[in-house]
Amino acid sequence: MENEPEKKQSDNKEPVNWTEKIKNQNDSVKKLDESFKKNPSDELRLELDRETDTLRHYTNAANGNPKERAKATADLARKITLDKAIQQLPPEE
Amino acid sequence: MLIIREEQIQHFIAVDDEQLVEVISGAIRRAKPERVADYDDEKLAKMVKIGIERARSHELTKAEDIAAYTAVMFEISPRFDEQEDIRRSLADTTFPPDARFYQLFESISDEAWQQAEQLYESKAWFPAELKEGR
Repeated sequence: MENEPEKKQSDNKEPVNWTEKIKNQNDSVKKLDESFKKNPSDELRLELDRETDTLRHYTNAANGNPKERAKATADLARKITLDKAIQQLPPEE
Repeated sequence: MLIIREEQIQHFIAVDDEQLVEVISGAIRRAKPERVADYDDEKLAKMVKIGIERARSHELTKAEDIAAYTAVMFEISPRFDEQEDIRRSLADTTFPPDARFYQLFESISDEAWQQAEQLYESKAWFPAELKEGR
């Protein structure tokens, strides 16, 4: 069940059906979670983590243009981190 | 006028790597709450350490730049830097490392970013040695 990179770099022309992918991945995670609850093991836990992350990745990717999303997220994370420094500045006299 | 040196800004953000992991984990939780909702603090910290290491491999040193880089790993793919055009830009020593990173959002095409997203691989976040805790 372990996922491989979704596609090769040169093979990205077909539009992705995120609804279908998310549904299928959600089913996989549910089944894996049931298996893990019945027979917990380190291996199953690792697999469950990987499959759950894949589901979150798909859900996130369905939000559209990756370049715009990357920029928006980078800007926000940068701002949040810098805000921590600003909050600690001594008051200006 | 109050003048703060870069070194002081970095000290205000995090005094050591342990605090840096904590700060960036917090930033990721605020920037992408749904993306990391399944992970407790311990697990997220392990993922963020992977991000910090990857960011530093591209010579990023400031906390805010490392946070931004790690955030893109969560948003797009932990392996986004392996996309051909992105890899070439990050290796272009004509520019300082932080400029190389932020230029990706200007100079790299939509298609290349789509390819970067398709390089997603959960094993990059969860290598075999990260078994414990969920």
